Amino acid sequence: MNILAIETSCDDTSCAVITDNYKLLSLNISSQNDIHGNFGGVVPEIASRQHLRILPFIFQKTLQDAKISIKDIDGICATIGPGLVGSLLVGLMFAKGLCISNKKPFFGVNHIEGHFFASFLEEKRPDFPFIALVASGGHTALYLVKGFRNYKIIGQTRDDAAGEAFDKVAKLLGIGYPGGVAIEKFAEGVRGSINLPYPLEKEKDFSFSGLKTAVLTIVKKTDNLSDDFKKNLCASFQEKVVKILVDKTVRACKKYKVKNIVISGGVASNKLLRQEITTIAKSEDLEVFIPQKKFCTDNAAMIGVVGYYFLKNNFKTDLSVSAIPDWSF
Amino acid sequence: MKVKSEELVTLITIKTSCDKETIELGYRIGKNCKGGEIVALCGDLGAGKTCFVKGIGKGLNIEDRVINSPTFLICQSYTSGRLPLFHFDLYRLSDFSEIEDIGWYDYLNSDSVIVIEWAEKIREYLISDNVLWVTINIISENIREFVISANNKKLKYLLD
Repeated sequence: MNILAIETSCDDTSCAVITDNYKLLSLNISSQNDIHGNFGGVVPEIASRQHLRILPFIFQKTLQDAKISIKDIDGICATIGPGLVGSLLVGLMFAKGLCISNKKPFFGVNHIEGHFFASFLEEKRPDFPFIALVASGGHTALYLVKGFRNYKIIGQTRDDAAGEAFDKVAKLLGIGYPGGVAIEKFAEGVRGSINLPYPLEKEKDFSFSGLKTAVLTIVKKTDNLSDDFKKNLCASFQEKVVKILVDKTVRACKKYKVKNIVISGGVASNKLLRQEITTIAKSEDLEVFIPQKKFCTDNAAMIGVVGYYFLKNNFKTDLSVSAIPDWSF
Repeated sequence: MKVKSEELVTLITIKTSCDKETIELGYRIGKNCKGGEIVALCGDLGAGKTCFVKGIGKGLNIEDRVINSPTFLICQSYTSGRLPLFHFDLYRLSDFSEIEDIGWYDYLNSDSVIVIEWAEKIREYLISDNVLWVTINIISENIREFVISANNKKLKYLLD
């Protein structure tokens, strides 16, 4: 059974084909360098309605890469929320058109649940239940995942997402974009010695806005920002964000007596986070599953895993469905 | 048509000394919204814009915990309250054509409330009488000054 998946919830346009046993046949994402080249120009970072321009191209390339035609597709799924409504609608309407003209069943997938199941694209998969930490530029939340569509939200950010805090701190230090990469590079080999706050320490929710403002206050108070000071600040900030993410994830495992942890979203590619969670997991007898980078950031393959499961089990979404920009569990 | 800030009428200038007071000020405006209002927020990083929007949401009966930063998504919609709230953040955008691209005109609806962070980026396009300008000045680590203005006194009911 072959499932075509479409993801257009925010900046990236992506298509994938998933086949039996959640095996990935092909995946294309608009942010890939080869797409920029083949498409004849740079795809803007903020894609929004650019989805409309690039999606047909990505769709065709994805079928070609999988060496199949639309006739070989047994079902189509797309992200229908949460996200930017105009962006979601492009993917959803494209999927609906394909379903109607080719008489294929449709399934509407939630972007966040896609992140949970990015872990199924790897050879070693987590068993249910697992605790999922989704940390990206747009989301930071912890969920208890007991099965497909059996989720409980444990905590979420009350203000900025973790990835957003990385971007904003990098910008106010003037060290480049994307912030996660820039801060990681600046903090390399440095141990932070600057004391930063731990907002909502005792609670399940996250808050990163106060941490960002604390860095801003320090920067404003400092007359001459030397590179060494910036490095120290980056290291201190990164260590604090990682500590917060790791603490709350491990705490959730204990509370719900769960042994498996899945980490996904762009922030999951942070080396210190990977290192810290792996170390703690060993000492606490927990198992951590972190998908490779291209499955952690926004992509259609993870959407395809969810679509595959439901379409395989004969669930489908009525084609009258609309985008749900504020869909949460 | 370009609107200069000196053409605006200041409705109130008020100081808050903590997040809680900022949320309360937002709440006061949110609970007076009838639909069709556009709240244009200006203020630096860390001024408390998202915090203020939580208050507006609370005034619309939207749980303040769920309102968070729309920087990445550019617009977050909240439909669980008494009126729909569309929360924009133009931080990542560079000009008006980009906000047009994401369907700006589709959001302008008399039944909803629009809040825009970094609204100064599209100042000359926000010329309607329904735009409430809220400029947040950072006075010290915790104290913020809110300068609230509009084209005329039509929106004064928001501060009742």
